[in-house]
Amino acid sequence: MAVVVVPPLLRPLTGDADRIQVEGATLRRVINELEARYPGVKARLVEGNKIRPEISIAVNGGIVAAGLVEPIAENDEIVIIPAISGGGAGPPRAG
Amino acid sequence: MVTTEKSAYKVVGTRPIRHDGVDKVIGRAEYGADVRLPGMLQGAVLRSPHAHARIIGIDSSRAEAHPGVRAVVTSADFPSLDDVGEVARPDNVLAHDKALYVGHAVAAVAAVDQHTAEDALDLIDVQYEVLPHVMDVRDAMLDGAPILDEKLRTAEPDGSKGDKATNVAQHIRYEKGDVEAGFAAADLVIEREYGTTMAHQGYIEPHNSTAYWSKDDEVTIWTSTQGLFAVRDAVAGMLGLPVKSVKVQPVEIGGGFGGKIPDYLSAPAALLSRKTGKPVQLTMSRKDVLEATGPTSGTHLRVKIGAKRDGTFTAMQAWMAYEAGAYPGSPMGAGTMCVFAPYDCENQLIDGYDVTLNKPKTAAYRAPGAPASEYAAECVIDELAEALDRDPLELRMQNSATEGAQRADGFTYGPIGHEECLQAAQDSPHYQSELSGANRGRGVASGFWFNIGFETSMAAQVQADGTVPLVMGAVDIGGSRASAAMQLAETLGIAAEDVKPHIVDTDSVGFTFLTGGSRTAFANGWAAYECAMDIRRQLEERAATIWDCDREDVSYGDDGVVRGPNDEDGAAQQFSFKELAGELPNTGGGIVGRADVSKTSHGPAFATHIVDVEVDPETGKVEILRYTAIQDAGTAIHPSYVEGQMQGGASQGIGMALNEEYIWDEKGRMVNSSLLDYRMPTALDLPMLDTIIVEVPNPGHPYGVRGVGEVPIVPPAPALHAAIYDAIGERMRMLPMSPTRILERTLPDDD
Repeated sequence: MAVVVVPPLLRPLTGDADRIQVEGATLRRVINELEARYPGVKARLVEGNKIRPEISIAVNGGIVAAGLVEPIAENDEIVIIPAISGGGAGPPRAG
Repeated sequence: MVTTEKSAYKVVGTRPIRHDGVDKVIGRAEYGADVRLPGMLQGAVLRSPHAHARIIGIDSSRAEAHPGVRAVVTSADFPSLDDVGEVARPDNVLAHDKALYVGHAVAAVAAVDQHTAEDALDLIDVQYEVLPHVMDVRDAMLDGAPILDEKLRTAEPDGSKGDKATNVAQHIRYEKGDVEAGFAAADLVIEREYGTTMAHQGYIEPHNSTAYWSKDDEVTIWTSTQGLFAVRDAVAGMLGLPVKSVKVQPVEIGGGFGGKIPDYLSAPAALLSRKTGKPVQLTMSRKDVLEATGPTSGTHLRVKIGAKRDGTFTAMQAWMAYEAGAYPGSPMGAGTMCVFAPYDCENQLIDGYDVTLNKPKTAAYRAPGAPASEYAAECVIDELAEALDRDPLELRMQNSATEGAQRADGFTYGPIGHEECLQAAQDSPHYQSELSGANRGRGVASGFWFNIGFETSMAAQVQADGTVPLVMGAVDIGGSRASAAMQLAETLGIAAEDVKPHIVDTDSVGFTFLTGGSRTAFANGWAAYECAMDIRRQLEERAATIWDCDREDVSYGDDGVVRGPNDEDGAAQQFSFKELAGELPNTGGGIVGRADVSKTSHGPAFATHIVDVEVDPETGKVEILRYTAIQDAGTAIHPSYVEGQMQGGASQGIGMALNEEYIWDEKGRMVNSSLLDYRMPTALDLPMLDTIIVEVPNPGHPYGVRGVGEVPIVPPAPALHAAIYDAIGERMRMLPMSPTRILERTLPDDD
C-alpha cells in the first residue's frame, strides 16, 4: 500500500494520524479512499476534477504534473504540501 | 575534477564539443533582438514614475497624432484582466487601475523607429493620484501600512482566509515533532536575525519580444524566454485566443536564471501588431530590466537552533518574511522547504510569509528562496560550531540528512549526497591547506535544492547515413542540447556527434515545460532515453524483417550493435547502427523515435563550498583568495557543463553575498539601475573557482542525473559570512556584506 504523509494542519480531519496507508492505483482513488475514511479531506485537496490550486501533491519526492490521474504504485510516498506560488521553477511549478 | 572513476558509459561523462557552440562563438546564433521582419515597427514602453499611484486616466491622443507613431496600447486593450498564471498577469504587463512600483508599465507605443517610439512616450498624458508607498517587508506587514490591494486577504496554513485587508498574501507553516520540547532538551540555543536585499539575476541579454498578428488572427512570437510553451499559453490566455493560434519561435537566450520565466513584452507587442498590421519589436533597456522585471526577494529572517553539548541538533525554528513585490508570489514557499533541508532534526517549526510591497513583482532566481533561508540557517550553524568548539564540517556531518530522513514538509529522502559532499570538502586540498595572514579567514557552508521533472516531449529521426536529428521543446540555457544528445547517443550506442539537437517552435514538438527547476538535463535525459529505446525497438523489428526471424531473436546491445540468430551457414548475423540505418529506405522507410514523459522521480541536490577571504581594513573590500565548490551531480553527463554551472552559481551567490543590492530613494525609486552601479562580480573580481563533482546517482533516472544548475548559488553567502567572521571577528547578518556595511562595523565611531 502507498502511504500518505498528512501535514499538521489536516490532521484534525484524520484523527491526528500523520501517515496513512492507502490503497489506490491513481491519485484520485487514493484521495477517494481517504475521503471514505476521513470525511472532509477530499474537499481540502480537490476542486472539481483538479488538485486545489493552493495544494501541491508530491509522489516519492516529485511534484505530480499529471494531477489526479497520476499513477500510484505499491509503497509510494504521497506528500501533501501547500502550493508554492511564484518562485518560478521551484516546486511545485516552476530558476 | 570528478571524485569517482567513470563507469562503463561511453558517451555520458565525456566532454564533446557542444553542438551549438560554433554558432555562438562566431556570432551567427540568432537572439531575439536580432529578429528582422519586413515592415517591422519598433516599440517603447511608458513606465510609472511613482511607487504607488492610482491611475485616473490615460490620454494617448497626442502620441497617436505624431506622424511616426503607428499605435498605442494600454491595459484597456486586453480582452480580460484575469490572471493567467505566474508567467504573466495582464495588470503587471500593463498597469490597470494602479501603478504599484516605479517602472510599472502603463502603455506601449509602436512607431517607425526606436527613437520615435521613445519620444512619443512623452506625449502620453497619464493622470496619477499618488498614494503612500511601502518598501520594507516588516513595515508592509504592520497594521496601518499602505495597502496595495484592498481585496487581498491572508491565506492561512489551515486553508482559511484573513478577515481584513493586508499585504500578507500567504502564511505557510511546516511543523515536525515538538519544537518546544526540543529547545528544552538543548544545552545551547542560538537565535539570530538576518536580512537580505532584493537582487537581480543579471542576465546579459535584456528582455525582448517580436510579435506578428496576421490578418487571420494567427500570432507568431519570437522572444527570449525560458519557456516557449509557457509564453504561448500566457499570451493566448491574456489575448483571449485559442492556443492553436499562438506560435512561439525559438531564439537563443542570453541568460535567464529564472528571470525569463515571466513574460512582459509579448502581449503588448502582439496588441500593437494587431492594431498596425505589422510586426512589432519591443526591447528593454538595462534600466528597464532592473526596474521592471522580476528580481528575487529581499527578506527578513529569524532562525533559532538548539543543540546538545555533543553537537546533536535538538530543535530548529525559522520565521521568514519574503518580499513578493507588487503582486503575491515570492519564492517563500521553496525557502521554507529548504531552510533546514540538509539536516536531520526531529523537532522543527517553520513559518513563512509572502508579503506584497511597492517593488517589482519578484520572479524565480536560481534556487528561488533558498539562498536567503539557508544563509540564515547556515550562519547559525557556524555560530553553534564555534560555541561548541567543533569543526564546522564535522558538526554538519553529525547532523546531516541521509537516506530515510524526513524534512519538515513531509518529504522523505531517497539516496542523497550531502554527507559525500561534506566528506569531499573535508578531504579537499583546499580544506587541508593552511591559511595564514592578517585579516584572512576561511568559511564553509552547505546548501540544498530540488529538481523537478514535468512534461517533456522529444522526437528523433534515424537518417539513412546513421545520423539522428533530435527535436525538443526545452529552451537550452545551460547546455541541455548537448546533454540530451549525449543521453540519446549513449542509449543508442552511437557518438554524440552523430546526433543533431534542435530546439523547435511550439507547433513542431509536443508540450514541454519550461527550462527551470534544475529539470532540463534530468527530464530531457528521460525523454532522450525513452526516444532511443523506441528507436531500438523499431530497429530490432527491421532487423528481424531482414533476417526473416522472430523479433524475440533480435537484440539491440548497448554497444549499438543489433544481433540476430546465426544464418543458414551458422555464421553470426549483426548490424552496426549505421549499417541498419542504411537498410531503412529498403525496409519501409525511415523511423522516428518519440517520447512524452512527465516524471516525478526527482533527484535532490546538495553542495558544500569552501572559501578563503582577505578583508581590507581600510576599504572594507572582501577579496576572495581561494574558492572550492563541491556538489553531488548524481551523474555528470557533460562534466564541463556541470563545472560551469557550479562556477556560475557560485559567482552569482558571491555577488549576492558581497555587492549586489537594489538601493532605493525615499520615493521608492531605484538609484543604481545600471550595471556600473548594480555591481555584479566580473572575471576580474574572482579567482578561478575550483570544483569537485561528487556522484551519488539518482535511482530515479536512467543515468542517475540530479538537478545541477541551481544549488551552487546557495552556499556562497553563509560560507562568506563565516570567512569574514574568521578574518575580522564580525558577524555580518545583513546581505550584501558590502564594503560599506563592513566599514560600519569595523571603523571606530568619530565620537
